[in-house]
Amino acid sequence: MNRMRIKIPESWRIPEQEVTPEDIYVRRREFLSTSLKLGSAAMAAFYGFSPSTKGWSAEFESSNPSPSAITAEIIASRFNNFYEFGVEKERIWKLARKLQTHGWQIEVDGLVKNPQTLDVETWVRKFPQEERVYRLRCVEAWSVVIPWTGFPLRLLIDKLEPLSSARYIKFTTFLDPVIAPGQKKRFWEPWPYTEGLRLDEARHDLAFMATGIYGHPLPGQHGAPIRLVVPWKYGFKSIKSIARIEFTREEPETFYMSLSPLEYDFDANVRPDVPYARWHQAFERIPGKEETVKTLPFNGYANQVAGLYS
Amino acid sequence: MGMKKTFTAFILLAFLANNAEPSDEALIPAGEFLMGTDQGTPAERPIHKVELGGFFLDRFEVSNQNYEAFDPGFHRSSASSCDRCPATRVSWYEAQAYCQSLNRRLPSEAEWEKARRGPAENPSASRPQETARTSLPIKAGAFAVDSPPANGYGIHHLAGNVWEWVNDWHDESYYRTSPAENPLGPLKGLRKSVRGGSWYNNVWYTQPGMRFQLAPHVKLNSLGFRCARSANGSNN
Repeated sequence: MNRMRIKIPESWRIPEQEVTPEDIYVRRREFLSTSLKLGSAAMAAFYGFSPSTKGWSAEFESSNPSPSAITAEIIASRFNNFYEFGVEKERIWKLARKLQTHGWQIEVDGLVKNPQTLDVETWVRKFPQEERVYRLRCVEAWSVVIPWTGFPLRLLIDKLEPLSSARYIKFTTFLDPVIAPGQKKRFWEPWPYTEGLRLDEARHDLAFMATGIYGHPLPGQHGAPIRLVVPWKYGFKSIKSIARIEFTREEPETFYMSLSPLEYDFDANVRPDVPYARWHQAFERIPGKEETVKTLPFNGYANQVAGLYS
Repeated sequence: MGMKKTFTAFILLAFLANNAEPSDEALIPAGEFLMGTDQGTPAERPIHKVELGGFFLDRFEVSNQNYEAFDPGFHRSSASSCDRCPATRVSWYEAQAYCQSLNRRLPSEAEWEKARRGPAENPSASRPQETARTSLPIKAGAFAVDSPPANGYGIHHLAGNVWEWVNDWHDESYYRTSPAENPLGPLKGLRKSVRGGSWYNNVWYTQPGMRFQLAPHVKLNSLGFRCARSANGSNN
């Protein structure tokens, strides 16, 4: 007996039919397709990832929508926070070219069945790659919409088998002040950068491990070769260039909570009604546009994640 | 009879020398050492030979208690608040003034690094790196200046606990032109060198040759200092 398969889109997908003209949609599909085929030196040079980066392309879901709200890559790739490389957003894409990601490894330890070292390139192949178009809301009150490629974080967690006593997952990025001048210039900050999630947050379907962006491997400024994307939280939770994963019983101390505990909390959920860390959060700017829009609770993902906090 | 008195005095002196509390200063004898590291950035290169005259360096970072005797209005940092914890949130100017009030001075960057590297005959006598107060949570705070570990010269916390001001202006290219004898840093600059790392910095920052810089008016919860003086009796 044949069964008809009906695909019900996930509730978090940004609806393409809102405003996307067909020609834009078609051209974007062409663009993404080209990016995947190129995936190489020309794209690398243009978007600023290291020529030595050995990425891994993903197969796109054909049903994945392409909203016109997607931020132009030239903007998203040249307006970045990555303080390891400096504080000037417009220069990070150049400075982060020094990040060498070939042979990148992630240490896994803490409350986990098998502490181990993951070879990222090998491990990423264990998971089906998919595209997610997410809003990313920075705590500095600006936002972008980005097509990521990668896999749900929960798939990785399941493979790593944390012990039942684990309640949190802690992420740590690389430490290399020789190539990342910000880690030397701002020496009094607690490098390397750290972030964390409750395990139930980390297992939520929206929590995503990104290895690609705009159809090609992550360039340095976006957190090559692998980063976290947690779209309902402020952007600083989405730690870049992950080098260590640790499962813990206690809430881990994170970089910004260490530096400024009165300004930053562990949850860091997008809440337009709560001024946070020096910025009012009711509105957000859209880079590249003279436009300010209202910020939505949980960055527009309240229907999916509010239950985590009830 | 005279011989007996002399002998008794000698024995007494020897006893006192063996049982006296160690001085609060360590003597770093004159001699040469290799300054810089190729593990860092261009600011730490090239590794070069430096000859220094003998000098005394405080075995401890200046404590809150001692600093308050100099500045009764001093407000202790909440991250370093015990009596014997290091005085932090002190600018380079204030640190220099404190040392001068005791007829001493801040160590030169070369002196600091030589002391940090430990005795030439046993450089690794800087006790095991893993005991240094470093790589800890920020909320752990600074440790008492006379708490372990000490290095082979008996100097505490040159690695970790709190950053330390040194006297020199900072110039990233200085090592390419610095004098081989008693270098004192550039004649002018915008920033002063700081050394040593703090309780919450990764061990990378505490390596002996690593150089960092800050404007002299800056105060940090994790930045203190210690004083030095030349062994020849001068204050230079």
